[in-house]
Order: sequence, then structure tokens, then C-alpha cells
Amino acid sequence: MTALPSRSTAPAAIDIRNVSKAFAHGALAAVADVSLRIPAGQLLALLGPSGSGKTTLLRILAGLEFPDAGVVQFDGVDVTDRPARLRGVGFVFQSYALFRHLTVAENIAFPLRVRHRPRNEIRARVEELLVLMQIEGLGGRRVTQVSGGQAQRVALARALAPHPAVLLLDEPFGALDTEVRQELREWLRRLHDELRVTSVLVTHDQEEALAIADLVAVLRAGHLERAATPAEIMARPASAFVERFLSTTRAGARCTGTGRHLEIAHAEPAR
Amino acid sequence: MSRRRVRPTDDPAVVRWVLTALALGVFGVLVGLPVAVVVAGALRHGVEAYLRAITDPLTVDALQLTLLVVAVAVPVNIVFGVAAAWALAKFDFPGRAALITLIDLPFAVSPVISGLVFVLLFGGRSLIGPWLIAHGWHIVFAPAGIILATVFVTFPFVARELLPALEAAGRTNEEAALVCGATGWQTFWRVTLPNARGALLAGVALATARAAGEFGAVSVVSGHIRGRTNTLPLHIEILYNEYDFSGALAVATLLVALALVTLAIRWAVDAHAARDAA
Amino acid sequence: MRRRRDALPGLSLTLSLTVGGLLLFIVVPLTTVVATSAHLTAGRFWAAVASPRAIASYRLSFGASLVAAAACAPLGLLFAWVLTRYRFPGRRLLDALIDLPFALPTAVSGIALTTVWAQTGWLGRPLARAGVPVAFTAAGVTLALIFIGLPFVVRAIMPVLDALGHEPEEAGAVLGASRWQTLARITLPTLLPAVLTGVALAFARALGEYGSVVFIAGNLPLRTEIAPLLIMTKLEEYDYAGATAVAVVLLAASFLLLLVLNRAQAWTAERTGMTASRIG
Ligand SMILES: Nc1ncnc2c1ncn2[C@@H]1O[C@H](COP(=O)(O)OP(=O)(O)O)[C@@H](O)[C@H]1O
Ligand SMILES: [Mg+2]
Repeated sequence: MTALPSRSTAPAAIDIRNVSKAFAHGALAAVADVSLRIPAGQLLALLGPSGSGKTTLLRILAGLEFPDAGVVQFDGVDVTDRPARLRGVGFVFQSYALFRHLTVAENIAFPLRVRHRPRNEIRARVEELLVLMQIEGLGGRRVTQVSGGQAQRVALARALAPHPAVLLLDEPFGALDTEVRQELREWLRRLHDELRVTSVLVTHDQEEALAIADLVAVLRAGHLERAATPAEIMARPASAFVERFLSTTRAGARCTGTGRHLEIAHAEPAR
Repeated sequence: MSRRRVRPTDDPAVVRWVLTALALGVFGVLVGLPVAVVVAGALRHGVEAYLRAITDPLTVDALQLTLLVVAVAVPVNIVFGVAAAWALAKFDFPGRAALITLIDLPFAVSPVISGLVFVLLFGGRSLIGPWLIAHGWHIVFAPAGIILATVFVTFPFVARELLPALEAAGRTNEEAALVCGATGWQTFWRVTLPNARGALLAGVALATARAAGEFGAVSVVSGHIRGRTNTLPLHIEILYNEYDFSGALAVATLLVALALVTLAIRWAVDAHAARDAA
Repeated sequence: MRRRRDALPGLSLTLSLTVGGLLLFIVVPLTTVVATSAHLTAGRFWAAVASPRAIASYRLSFGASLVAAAACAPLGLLFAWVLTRYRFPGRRLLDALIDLPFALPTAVSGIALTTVWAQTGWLGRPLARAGVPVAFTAAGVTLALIFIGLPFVVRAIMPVLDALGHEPEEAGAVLGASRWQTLARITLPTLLPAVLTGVALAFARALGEYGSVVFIAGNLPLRTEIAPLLIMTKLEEYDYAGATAVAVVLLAASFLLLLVLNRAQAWTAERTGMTASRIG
């Protein structure tokens, strides 16, 4: 059996090469010939309208879906055919997918339990994550008894528990109201700065993508339209589609940042 | 005096009363009374006679065979039902709908035919029957035939209770477990099964009640050898046909109790699911 | 091009178990009936299938099942309506016990029904005095089949009525329809597929029913002998050919009903967006 990563794992660079996927034979491709490189430790926002193939691409990275053509590499190693459980990725589902029959702590412990880690190690790691996620004291709760924002943090803690080399998040803030959303977004950015795990964050919210990511990739009907830093994209959208897709944000927000991440004035909470 | 306001979907009180009374009345006469009569008839000659009837050696023999049948048929059902529910609820493949129809088939087939098929397959006049009998393998008119017929009749129960539950849960839980690093088995035991416990329990309860209570199919294959191939329902029939009415009803109370326990389990499971959903 | 795969394991194992189990325990045994009947000459087959005694048993079985299933429609609507729309003490108990005919062993139901409705029974005696004998007549057979069929109809209607909620009726009322118009034009048509599904289920179950009927039927050839009992009788006379022939007729009817049921369930799903899949 292949060894499962469980202790601190170095973040992996992700290489996506000419990946295509269609769901029914002869149907239009959900992901069409996408090539993309995400350097280790960076946070990429996968942006695009609904149905553009963001979830499908993310699931291909996780090993929940297998491409019809193309290759996925983590740190230069071909993982295209590697089953999900051996990929060492953390995945936060759009609906959280918390196990309803388990408590918050048991959910976070799950990835360690199935790896048969020693009890005291599991307990310590769960404690550590509860603190990191700022949900200390919720460990004994049933997951049905926590708020949406808290459930989100539990899902993230569960994904991070086995020290994944790659973190994948599918519209993690989609189901939350604006206020919680903005707060969590900021917090996630800081968390990423701290953990530096290579992350792919799916969103259909331009503002969110630009505010949080090191890199932004724009998908349109399965094709990759553009991949660049937020600043580059804002300066040179490079296609009418990207331009149009970003126009709401450009009109509605004052862009002030110039550095690694673009800051959007009204997205910045008061300190 | 102001007129009482009624919402457009509230039936007038009179209608509510009449319909409720009608439903309770129909249920009382159609279902309640027969069950009451079983209990009353069983106790007609007193508690002592009742206890004597249900501890009669022949009753105990029948109970033992019934338990044996349940002990074989229900596990077979669980294995098949869990496998079928997993394949049919979590995957889509060509022929899936046809397979579901096939699983339902025993529901639609007359119990008498369910017994007949095994007589035709393994009886003295079948292709392999004489060979089996020559080698001492008795299937028809023997416990093996009763078990086979019971497996046939109860085949859909677990699958049919589990399938909607697993289907409603979708695949996300399993996918979450896989990316967490769980193997297929770990996913099934630690995630799928705990979330479908209730449905599984209800299916097992229904299958148990039916396996213990099956009459038509078992009647055909049993050959009515007293004390050897009688299950409880067959024993009840014999007592009844010998005009030992209170004895028949006494033994029947055992199966009535089993049916009530089954319904109670299913009711509790449904109530639990409803509370979870809320 | 790569082979299509699924991230979730276990399909091949569970599908093999499912198909294997079905073949071994269901398909092979059932084909024996057809295979055995194929050994009969056309003349013998026909003589068994169309003997006056057999014809009389089909008439009783199909007739009584049809009447019983039809009678279950209004009864099923009544119970489903009362159970989903009203709140009264004992409602939850009634909701649980409505499945009792489904959960009770058929032999127990048969004996219990006979005890109540026989000429000496609690209800049978006064009825017989009034000149309406129930037990040992076609009426008794029908009564037992109503008893057996009722849960199927109630359980087919209840989830649909529950999911329907009050809104369509409120919409009707707001649009100016009277209560009767709303019920007749909105509620009932929406429930119709579910009612028919339930009736078809009840009919299918009634057609093959044995245990709850044989005690109350009297079992007189040509008069109160149902088709499943005729199969049983022929078997006891070692007339395997005759038993098989009658079984083929019943099986054919069951297959046909199963197809009708699939259509009815698809129709229910179409009209209500619901899939009723749990039986009983
Ligand atoms: N399991 C599936 N079966 C069939 N089609 C699918 C499936 N999943 C996604 N699709 C299709 O693939 C396309 C991309 O979907 P998805 O990746 O979910 O988009 P996004 O996440 O960007 O909204 C859509 O047209 C969608 O209908
Ligand atoms: Mg998506």
C-alpha cells in the first residue's frame, strides 16, 4: 500500500496538461483542453460563470473524476490515475459534506482515523485545528448544531487535518450571507499566508477571486480563457469575455492595490 | 356575532369530524376487530391454556424451524439488499431500471407460485430432483425448500428499504470520505452504513416479519410433515383445521407481536429521520 | 483514450452480487415455470388453462381483486387525507398501524378475518341473520382482499399529498374557485397517478394472495375457489402440468401489472416530481 501523507507535507506544484472531460459520449466537453500550472504554495482562484466546468476541473484534481485526455501532475509526478484517497488532497465541498452522524471533532478526526494514526496524535491534531479555525469548544457538537460559517470552518479543518499537499475548495462561501462571507474570505487569505498550502478555490464571484488569490484562472464553457495575477488581469483582460465578465467588478469597486494581491476597497473590513 | 373565519384549505369542523370518525370506524372494523379477536380468542380458556398452547412441543418445534428459516433468509437478504442498494443508488449504468423491476418481481408473484417454482425445480419429477434425492439431499418437503422459498419471497425487502435512503443521500458523503483518505470498505462501514442504519433496520425488521410469517410459498414446499417441516404459520393452519381455534389463535399472537414490533421499529426509524431532516 | 472509471469503488462487486443473486434466486426459478409449461402439448396446456374450473377461478380472482382494489381507492384517499391533513389524538398510532395488514402473516389475517366474519363471528352472525353471509362467499374473498390492499393505496397517496401541501389549493381559492372546484380540478387530478399506482399495487397483491383468503373463501370449486388455491389443489393431486399451466396465466398477469405499475410510477413522478419507491 502506498504511504499516505499524514505529517507535514511540503506544498506541491500542480501541473494540468491538456486535460479534457466530457460527461456523455459525444457531448460537449465540460473541460476542454485545459493547461495550467500552479506553483507550490500559491492560491489560485478558478473563476467562471455557472456551468463553465470549474467543479469538474476541481474534481479531476481531487481524483473524484477522471479526465478523458490529458495529465495531472503534482510536483512533476503523474497522478492522473491515482485514486482520490492516495492523492493527499484536502477537499472542501460546496455543500460542506460533513458527516451528519459524527460530531465536529469526529469529522475533523476522520481523515486521521482512516489512516490509523495513534489516538493521542489524533486528539492533539484535532485540538490544534479547532484553535486554528477559531471554533474551540465546538468539538463535541453535532454538525447539525453549528451555523453555516462554523460548518465551513469544520469542513476546512477536516480537509487540512492530514496535512494535504493541495487544498481544493469548491465555492466555499457560496451558501453564506455577504457579511460572513467577507469575514471568512479575509480569514482564509490570512490562513493561506500562514499555511502556504497550494490551493485552488472555485468561485463565480469576480470580486472574491481578485481579492483573495495569487493567481486567477478564468474558465468559459470548459476552455481556459486567461490565467494571470489579479493585477495583470485587471490591467489587460486579453479577451472580450474576460473583460465583460470582470466589468461588474471594475465598475463597482475602486482598485487600490498594486502588489501581490489586489485590494478592493469595499471588500476590506474595518480593522 | 362575527362569523368564524376559516382558511380556504381548512375543512369545516363537521367534515373533519365525520371523515376522522369514518376513518377510525373503518379501521376499527376492518383491521382492529380481527386483531382484537385473535387476542381474545387466544385467551378464551384462560392464561394457563394460552401458555400451554404456546409451549406445546409441536409449537416449539415449529418455532425452531421458523427461527432457522429467519436465521438463513434474513442474512442472505441483508447481503443482497446492501449490495443491490449500493450498486443501484450510487451508480448509473445501462439496465439499472430493468434491474430494479426485477428486484420487485417477487412482490408481484403469487406466494403459491413462489413455492411452486421450487417444487418444479427440485421436486421428484424435476430434472435434478431424483438425483438429489438419491444422494440424500431433500429440498422439497424439507427445511431447505422452505428456506429457498422464503428467500425468494423476502428478496426485495432490504433492498427496497435501503435504496431510497441511499439514493436520497447522494454520493457526496462517500466522495468526501474518499478524499479524506478512506478506502471503499472504510467509506461503506464508517459513512454509508451509519447514515442508512434506520432504513437497514426497517428493512431487516420487515424481512424478518415476512420470513417468519410467510404462508403460501412455504405451504407449497413444506409437505406438512408435523414437527418436521412446520413453521409457525403452517402450525397455526393445522391447529385451526383441527378445530383447535384457541390454540391456533394463541400461536398467532406470537406472530401478531412480531408484526407490531416490526411496525414500531419502522415508525421509530421514520420519526427519527423526520426529526433529523427538521 | 482512457477507460472510463469511477472514483467510488465497489460497483463490480455489488453489481455481480445483485445480478448473481437475482439470477440464482429469482430468474432461474421463475423460468422453470415457463420451461415446464413449454413441455406440455398445446392441447394439454389449453385443457388445463381453460377448464371450466380454471375459468371460474380466474373470474373470481380477477373479479374480486378488481373490486377490492377499486374499493381501496376511496378508502385509501380517506385515510391518506385524514392522516396528512388532520391532527387528532391517536393519529400517529393510526399512521403506524395502517401497515398492519402488510406486516401481519397472511395466515393470521385469514384466521382473524374468518373469526370475525364467519356465521358464528362477531359481525358475521348479525349479517348472516340479515341474509348477507360474508364468509365462504365471493364477498368474503373481496373483503379479505380489501384488507390486504388498503396499506398499498394509503402509502402510495400519502407522500404525494404531503408534498403537495396547501399551496395549490390556496392558489385555487385565491383565483376564485370554490372548495369543491379546487378539490375536483386541482387536488384530485394531482393525486390521480398516485391513486392509480396504489390501486395497481393492491390489485397485483390481491391477484396472487393466498393465505388471507383461503380461510374465509370456503374454497368450493367453481364457486369460491381462487386461482392460487387451484394451483395448490392441483399440486396436492400431483397434477404438476395443470398447476403449472394455471401458474403461467397468473404470472403473465403479474408481469403485465408490473409494467403498468412502472408506467404509473413514472406518471406519478412526472406529475409530482416525486419518486415513490418504498413499498408497503
Ligand atoms: N455528473 C455530471 N453528468 C453530466 N454532466 C455534468 C456532470 N457534472 C457536470 N456536468 C456538466 O458539465 C458542465 C460543467 O459543470 P460544472 O463543472 O459543475 O460547472 P461549474 O462548477 O463551473 O458550475 C455543465 O454543463 C454540467 O451540466
Ligand atoms: Mg460548480
